[in-house]
Parts: sequence; C-alpha cells; structure tokens
Amino acid sequence: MMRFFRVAPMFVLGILAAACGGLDNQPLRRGDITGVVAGADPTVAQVTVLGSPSLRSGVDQNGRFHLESLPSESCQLYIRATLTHALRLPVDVPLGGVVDVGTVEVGLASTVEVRVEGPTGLPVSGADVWVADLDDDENDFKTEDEGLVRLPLAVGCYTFSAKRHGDVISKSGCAVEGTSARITLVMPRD
Amino acid sequence: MLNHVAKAGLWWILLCLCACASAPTEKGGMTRLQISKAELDAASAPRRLALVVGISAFGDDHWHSLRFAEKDAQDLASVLEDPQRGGFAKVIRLSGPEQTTREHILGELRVLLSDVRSNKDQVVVYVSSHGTLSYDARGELRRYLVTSDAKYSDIAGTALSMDQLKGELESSRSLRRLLILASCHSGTGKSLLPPEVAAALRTMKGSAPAPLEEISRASVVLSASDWGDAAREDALLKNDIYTHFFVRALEGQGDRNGDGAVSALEAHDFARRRTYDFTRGKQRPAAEVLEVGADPIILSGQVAGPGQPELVSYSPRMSGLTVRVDGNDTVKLPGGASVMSGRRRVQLLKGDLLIAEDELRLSPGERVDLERLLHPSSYGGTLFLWAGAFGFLDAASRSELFPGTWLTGLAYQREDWIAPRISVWLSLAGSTGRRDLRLTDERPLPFRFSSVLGSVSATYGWEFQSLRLHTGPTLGGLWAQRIFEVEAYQQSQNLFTFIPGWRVAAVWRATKRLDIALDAGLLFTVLRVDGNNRALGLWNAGLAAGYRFR
Repeated sequence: MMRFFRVAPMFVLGILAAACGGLDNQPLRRGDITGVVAGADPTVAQVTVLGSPSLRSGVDQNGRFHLESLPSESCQLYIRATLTHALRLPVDVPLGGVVDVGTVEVGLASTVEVRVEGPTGLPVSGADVWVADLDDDENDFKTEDEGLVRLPLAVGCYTFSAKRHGDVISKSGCAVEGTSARITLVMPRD
Repeated sequence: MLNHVAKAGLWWILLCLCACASAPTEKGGMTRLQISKAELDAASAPRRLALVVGISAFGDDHWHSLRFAEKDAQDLASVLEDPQRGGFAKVIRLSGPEQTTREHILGELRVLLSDVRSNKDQVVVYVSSHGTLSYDARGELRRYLVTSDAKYSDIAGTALSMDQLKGELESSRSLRRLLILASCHSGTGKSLLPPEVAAALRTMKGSAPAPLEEISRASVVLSASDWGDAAREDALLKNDIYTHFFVRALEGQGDRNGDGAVSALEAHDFARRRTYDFTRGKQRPAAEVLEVGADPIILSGQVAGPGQPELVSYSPRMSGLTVRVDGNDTVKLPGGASVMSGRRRVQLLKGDLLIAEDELRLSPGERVDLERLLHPSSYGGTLFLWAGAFGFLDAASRSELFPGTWLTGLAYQREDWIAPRISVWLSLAGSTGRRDLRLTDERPLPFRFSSVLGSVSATYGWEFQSLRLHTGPTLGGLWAQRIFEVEAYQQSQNLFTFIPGWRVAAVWRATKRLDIALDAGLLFTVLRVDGNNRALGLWNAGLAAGYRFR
C-alpha cells in the first residue's frame, strides 16, 4: 500500500509531464497602428510611440507608416513629418486588431531651447542632449559653445536628458505653442 | 390452402356486396363502419387454440383401458375454455373411440391449425393415452401415441407417430406451440411395449431415444414423465397425476412470478414438483424448450405487469444442478424459480461442487436462462452514443483560454470485467466550432476550435433496482486546437495534455438492450499558458444512450 502512495504521485506527474503544446494569449494582447502622414519627408519622417522609443516606424514615399505588435493599450504617437513639423496623436491599440488613424495633417512644431551648464553657471559645450521619451540614441544632438541645443517638438511635455563625462542629468519641460521654451540642465561638474 | 381460397372468395363477395350497396336516396358512395378501437384490438389480438385428446378405451385388447384419460382431457379443456382462466378462443375436445382414431385426431389437428391467423396465435395440443415404442420401416426405434384404433401387432402402421404429430404441429404459422403428453414410453404405467422392444430396451446401452425429440423454434414439449419413468393415474386424484397438478397450476396456483398469468413452463414446473413429491420420486415429468424467456406461452390469465424475475433452465445438461441464490438453495434443475429483483449472487452446484457462479442484476419481468452462467463471455458490454459538455472550472480560464463546449462521441462500458462490480469505460468524443475569447471587457476575440477528449475509467458500482451508480478514477487525454484569424494574428495553437480525475455515472437499464447513462467528471491538468505552467481544473458531464451487446 505504501508503495502505491509512492508510485501514484510519480505516475500522475509523469503523465502531466507528457503534455505538449500550450495556449499563448500574448500575441492576442498586441495590435497594429497604420496611417498616412501628410506632407512627410521620407528621409526624416518618423512615427514613434511616446515613452517607448524602440517602437517606431519610418514612412514610405506616400507617407504611409505601419507600427506592429504594440501593446494593446492607450498610447500617444509622436509623428515627425519634417525637421520642422511634428504632432502628438493619442491612439487606442485594439486587442489583436489593427487601427488605421487615416491621413494625419502635421503642423509646425514649437521650439525648445535646451541649455546645458555647469555648477557655476558656465555653458557646457559638447554635451549629448536627447529627449528620453522619443530617442533611444544618446548622440542625436550636441551642445554648441553657448551650451545650447534647439529642438523642434510638438506641443507637449517631455523629459530632456544631457550627458557629459559620464554624468547624466534629466529634467522635464514642455513645448508651448507659439513660443520658444527654454530648459536648463545643470551638470554636476564643469 | 383451401382455407385461404375460401377466405379470398368471401372477401370478394363482400367487396361486391359493398360496391352494390346504395343508400335509398343516392347511388354509389361508401358506408362508414363504426368499429371501436377496442373491437379492432380484440380482432387482431393473439388467439389461443387447443386440441385436447383423452383416450381411455382401445379396440385392441392388448391396450388396457385407462380410467381417467378422458377425464384428464375434460378437466384441462374446462380450465382452458374458462374465460377467467385460459380464455381460449377455441378448444376441440376429442374423446370416445370414434373421435380418438389416428385419422380423426390428425384431421381435427389440421382443422385447428388452419384457424391460426398469425404467428402470435398459440396452439396447445394435449394427449392423455398410452405411449409405446416400435421400429419403423427403416428399423429405427420410434415413439408412438396409442390411439383407439391402434393395433398392438402393427404399431407403426396404426398408432399415432410422434414424428407425424410433431410435423403437423410444426407446419403451423404459430411460433407459440405447446405439446403436452400425459403418457410415457417406458413400458410401465401408461405404456405398453411389444415384447421384442422391451427386450431390446433391457439390453440397450447408452442413450435410448430421447423422450422428447428435437423441437423447433419457439416450441415447448411437456411430458408427464421422463424417459424410463411411468406416467401414472391415481384413484384418489381421479386423474393422471401430472395432469391433475397441471390443471391446478392453470387454476392460478402456478403463477410463480406473480405477473397475473400462468405460462406453460410455470404450470409444468408446478406440476412437475408436485408429481415428483406425490409419487415419491417415481415419476419425473420432463420438459424440453428451445427458447426460454423469448416469448412465453401463456395458458391462463393475462399478464398484468412485470412479475418477479425468474431463473430457469430446461437444458438436459443442466439437469440435476442445484441453483443457489444469495446462499440459499432455490430450485433443482430442470425448472425455474422466481426471485427478488436486484443484484443476486447465483451459483450452480452439483452436490457440493460449484459448477458456475455469477452476480446477476435482475429486473422485474426478466427471465434468465441459467445456461448463461456457463457462457460468461456472452455479455459484450454496452456501446453508448454520448453527448455532453466540458470546460474549465474557473471562469477566468473559460473566458481567456477555452470556453466551455459541447462534445459528442462514443463510450463503451464493460461491466464486471476485471472484478465483480468493477466497470471499465472507454470514451472518445470531439467537437468543433467557433467561440470568442474575452481578454478584456472591450472586444471579444473570435477563433475556430477543434477538440478531442478520450478517457479510460475504472469504476465501482452499486445497484438499486434497474439503476446502477458508478464512481471511480479516470484518465483522459485532451487535444485541442485554437485557430485565430483576427487582423493582427492569424495562427493556430495546439496542445495535448493528460487529465486524470474522478468520474461518477448513473446508468438506468431502460430495457434489456437499452441503457441510459448520466455521467460527470472532475479532472485536473497542468497546461502551458503564456509560457508558464498553470494547474487547472476541468469538468465534463453528459447524457448517453447505449446498446447492450450479448
């Protein structure tokens, strides 16, 4: 009898282990976004999921873009049509579905001046500057002698980051419609 | 043939008369006959017909007169004709020297048989007389009934051959034929043998001619005595002993199973036992039956409902065996006994030696031939057509993994296979269709699916009348496939998993062949879900109709 109670669980576990295959709902929890960016310059145009810079797509000659396998949730697309035109667009990604945002007209972007300075207030030139919500490339922009970088951005708030000699500093700021906003990032060292 | 021609002619005349008939005010038209359903049922109901022959006096002085043969016939005919008992539609009584010659008996038998309308009509032939043996033209020993004109010096040429009587009876359309012989062929009692035959029998080794020859389908032959025994008359009873008790049985005492009717075998068993007791074992009435239980021949009363189950056997090779039911000696074969319905332990014993045993589930009205115990493999299991459903126990898995679904398939049950009360079940069912997954409240995700569920179970059973309850472990295998064709995902997913569990079932034996089953199971499995192992519970339940193979 004791032998039975030793063998039976092993038998059941062995049987269960013989199972194969499975059910995977992860692919169903994702969806696609497609659309057309009006007046897009294919060499610079890009559509990025705000906050997830790795989820991005370029556009074809007709301005069409297609973002695949996005998490099924509400998100904002950051659409850069040209160097001076950008737009933020809220979208709900459907479960296992494709949402077509249609043709998107993109207006002029606002300008945000990012100034990088040292602890004594002196400008820091040659620092890397990027918008953390949009870029996963830290070498997009470098500050000039005045420690400035001018970024064309769609109206809205972002997180700006700067890096110099291994030091990284970030700060939130907003692009405002019709005017140029300035963001100052203070590095811990000159 | 003549009868058919006469009937056809009668119908033709009737049709012509109908065609010519007319109402006073109009020509032609049909007359609506007012016939009640009861009248129609009565007209088409099976009828009971009988030829009852009692031969007391014989022309040849070698055959001594029988005191009660005619009275035997009269007594039996009276109970058969009695509407409260036999209710026979027609009883031909033959007695006296003129009516009991060979040719007259055969002629009246043919008249009786020509009146048989359907194979459900039952025919009873009773003869009380001397029996004897003689060599036929081919030198073979044959049995004869001594008619009033039978010559002792030419038995084969003048007496009524049993073969001929049997042949006439078997030419009938009826499949319910009963021949009752209140005679014997032993040379004693109501028998007289020519000297050379008696001498031959004394020196004969091995088996003598069977007292009851091979009989046809649905035929029953009852004999007042077994081979070698004497059939006797008794002055106290004023009858042939067997016939006396046979008539008593038909008067109601022989209704062994309490169904309201006395069948031929019930009456025979009643008379057999009392004849044996009355003669202190010197006379053993015999019966030979080809089909027991298939369609009993009712001699008295009407079946009011299913009686108690009966255990019977008239097989020669079962003769002498004792039937023990639940530890109690019930009857000695040949013969039968009624027992309580339900599960009964039935044993066949020869002395103290156990020959066979089985646990039988007996239903009211059931008649079991005990030869079945010698062929235990005759039961072939039950094949069910099964329809049911299965699904996950928890609502989240049903909405996010696989919704509950219908299944149809086959199941096979084998009772008492490994051990008494243990049933083994095999089942295979499948389904296919469309369902929706609901991962959120917003949007259902449609998919096509296929699933196959197979299982093997071993259950222990309890019986309550015709209902059996089973429970036991089960091991299933589930294969399932989901095929998604949503915009962003068009792929199929397959899984196979084993699902051990526990099963309960209730099986109702609706008829001898039909089982209705209701079953349910709780199952357990581990599935790979979204890349992780998840323990899940499942249920299944269904309804099935099954055919019992024998």
